[in-house]
Amino acid sequence: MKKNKILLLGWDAADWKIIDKLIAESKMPALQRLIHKGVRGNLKTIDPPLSPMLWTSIATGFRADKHGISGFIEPTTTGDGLRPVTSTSRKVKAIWNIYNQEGWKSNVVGWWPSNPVEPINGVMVSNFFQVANKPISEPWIMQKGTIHPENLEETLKEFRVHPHEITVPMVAPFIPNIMSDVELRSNKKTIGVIKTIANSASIHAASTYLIQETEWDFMAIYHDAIDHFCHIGMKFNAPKREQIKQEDFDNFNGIVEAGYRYHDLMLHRILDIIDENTTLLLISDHGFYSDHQRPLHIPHEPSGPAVEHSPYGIFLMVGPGIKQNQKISGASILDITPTLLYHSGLPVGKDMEGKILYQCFDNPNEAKFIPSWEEKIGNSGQHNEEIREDPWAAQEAMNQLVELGYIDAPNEDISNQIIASKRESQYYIARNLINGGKVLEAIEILEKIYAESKTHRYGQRLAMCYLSKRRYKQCIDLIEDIKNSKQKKQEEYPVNIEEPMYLEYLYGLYYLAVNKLQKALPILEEILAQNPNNFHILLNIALIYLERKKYIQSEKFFIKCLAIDDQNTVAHHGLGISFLRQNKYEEAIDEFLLTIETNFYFPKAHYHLGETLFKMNDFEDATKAFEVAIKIAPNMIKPHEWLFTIYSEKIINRELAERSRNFLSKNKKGKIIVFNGLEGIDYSPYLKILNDYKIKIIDKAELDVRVKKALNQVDDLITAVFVPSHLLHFLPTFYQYQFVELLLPEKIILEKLNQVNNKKRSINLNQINELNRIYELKNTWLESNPTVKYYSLNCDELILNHLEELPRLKEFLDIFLKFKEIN
Amino acid sequence: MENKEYIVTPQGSLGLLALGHIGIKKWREAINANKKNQDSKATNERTREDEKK
Repeated sequence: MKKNKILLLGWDAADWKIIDKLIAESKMPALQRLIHKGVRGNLKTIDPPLSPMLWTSIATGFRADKHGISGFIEPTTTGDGLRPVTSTSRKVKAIWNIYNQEGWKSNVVGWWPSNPVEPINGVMVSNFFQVANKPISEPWIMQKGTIHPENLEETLKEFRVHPHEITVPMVAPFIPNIMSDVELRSNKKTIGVIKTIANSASIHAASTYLIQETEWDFMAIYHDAIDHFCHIGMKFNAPKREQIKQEDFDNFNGIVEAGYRYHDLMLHRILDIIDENTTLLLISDHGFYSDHQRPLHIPHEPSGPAVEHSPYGIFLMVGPGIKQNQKISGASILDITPTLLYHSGLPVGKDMEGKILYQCFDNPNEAKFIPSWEEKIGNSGQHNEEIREDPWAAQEAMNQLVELGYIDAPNEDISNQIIASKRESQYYIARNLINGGKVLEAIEILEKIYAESKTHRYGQRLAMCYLSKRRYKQCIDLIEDIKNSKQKKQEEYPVNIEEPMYLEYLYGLYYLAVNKLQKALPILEEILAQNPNNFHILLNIALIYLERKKYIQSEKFFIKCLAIDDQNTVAHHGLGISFLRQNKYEEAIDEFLLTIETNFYFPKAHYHLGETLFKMNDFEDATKAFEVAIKIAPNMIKPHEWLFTIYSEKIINRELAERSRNFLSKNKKGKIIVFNGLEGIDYSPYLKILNDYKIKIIDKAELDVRVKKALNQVDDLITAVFVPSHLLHFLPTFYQYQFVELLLPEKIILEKLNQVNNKKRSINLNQINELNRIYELKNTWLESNPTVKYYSLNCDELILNHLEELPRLKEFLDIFLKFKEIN
Repeated sequence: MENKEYIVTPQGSLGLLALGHIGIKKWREAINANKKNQDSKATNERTREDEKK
């Protein structure tokens, strides 16, 4: 039986925000027609949004730590320089290798990275095919490794377009003033546009030839032109910003729109020449900030321009068996390979990190799975084992040869460049790991590269990791270290205006994480005053107000966030809660539905939707929303509470009421406040202050007794239990805990321990190790209980400044005790 | 698009590039034809000038 063909068309950086606007103005007719025939949605990118890593994730279903492409450059095989990243560094099979093994014929054009080409059953045109590096007067030689099979070289090389061939009428749609202004023709931006037009024309011509003149089952085409047009021209797009010169705005504000319309023309051609049974996927790896979201400055750092990339690319799937005129949510770039395999009737590797997008298909069948395609032997059309290598490992091997004196060392500049690039590549891997939830592995990498280089970006990311793993002490120590090294560096370098107040931002996030909201808020507000369009600052301020139950303010800030990024699910969800708590139910429902539309797998959005519907007496729909919430997050307690009420009082269903009751009896007992410190330390002076402030801490009793007592809160007296770190892991899991760590300087702890133990007043290594072990016990408990909220109570501050510290602590405890509905 | 008729000029256009390999072939043919035309014009002019002399 003849297979239906699949065409995967990649438009780097394409963004629905821009496309929808152009479609509304009837400026992308081909894409407009296509949207009605298929399923569209956002395609979530993965961090860092760097194209070679992302397009390899798209083609493999793996993140960079598995697929091995970790940035734009890598060392040469001789270890004496750097080169653009190559296909030989990819460690796993791409979708075309899997198809190859199954006897399918694939054509791959321009994929990044695909040089040198792989010997697949079909045609591969590498990402170096279109690059002209000589003037047109000199021969444009096709490098070995650009085309597979080689016998197509002569034919395909004729379809390359040299930038010098691009004519003024071709550029005029991008830069209309070029017709009359001759000087504009040699402008750097104009030259960038010309090169991009030529490159995309070459890729498109090779593609149309291969579509029409070769046999194929699967074809993948990659265009980088939209990304390039956007990097050149987005800053000049309307609305004009103050920093942009009027002349530049007049000359270059049409580049982005013309770029998209050119792609629509190319798409039109593709649609003309593929048969109607072909499944077409049109995707991008990330979006591109437009309008007011555009960053004002591009950081002067490797991959700095990536700050212009936004987190959602495009996804469109059209073809036989695919739903029509529908929207989907929750798709990620990691889902493309699993979805393609499923659509082709092939098993999906269980080790792949993406999921099958079942929601695209009219009648989804059950998927087949295998443990891993990597273990499946067959002719995959990959490079030979000898050619494939980890370039950084190879470079390390070269270093050893240099050290042994077998080869000469590269000059110092090149060596330093290689070392810096290797660190940068590890930094990208660390960010990829963070994105995949492997924070501990990322910490290991970041600690190493920060210690080696003291690069602030690495430290900043590491501090964020510490926060997410609740290693608060390490976090604040690191922030102080960055601050010190920054001060030292400032003596040598001017202040870097392109990283505005990131250190303050770290402090703000730290105080937010340790629930010192009153300290976090003024810091974040100060940063906001300097960076009024900084989405993350606005979001954090909104979240603080939400946490403090100040819903009018939180509503205001969430709306500001959404004015910047109307697709952000956290902001929609937060705005929904703000409306819900103000009894604005209709508005709340809209926000929760928008959250779900963008990210279906957001259990709290379903939960709060259910709560709103319940309050509107729509019990049937509320039930559906709560059921979805527990399907996505089976351990969520609150949906069960509501479901128990509904099934036992509103829509009677004894069986389901019993299910929720059983769940609650196993999983929910009550709320407990835990004060934590070291056993053997006399905290009585501090506990007395707390006691005077109606915070009673029960001590010196059996744990179970203490736990029970803690539940008996009397009026406004807050009762808590003191649990030393080594007993934390005995705490039963079915309580909700609020955690307050009593902090004393290490030196004082050791002195106090010495006094207690009546030993001589010196600090020895064993004691420090013991102390570290105890800290580690506490960290482990906090890490394994991610819903526990943390507060650090500095004992010195409690004595010296209790009038400020105590209200902060009380606010933290009150939010926990008195507020039941949030989260 | 296949059956439409296009006037291909040596200046080319984005639309021509968007046709892919066929467009590029036709564009280069137009450039070559134009070049031949210009060459032959130049040859004719030279011949006429030689004849005048």
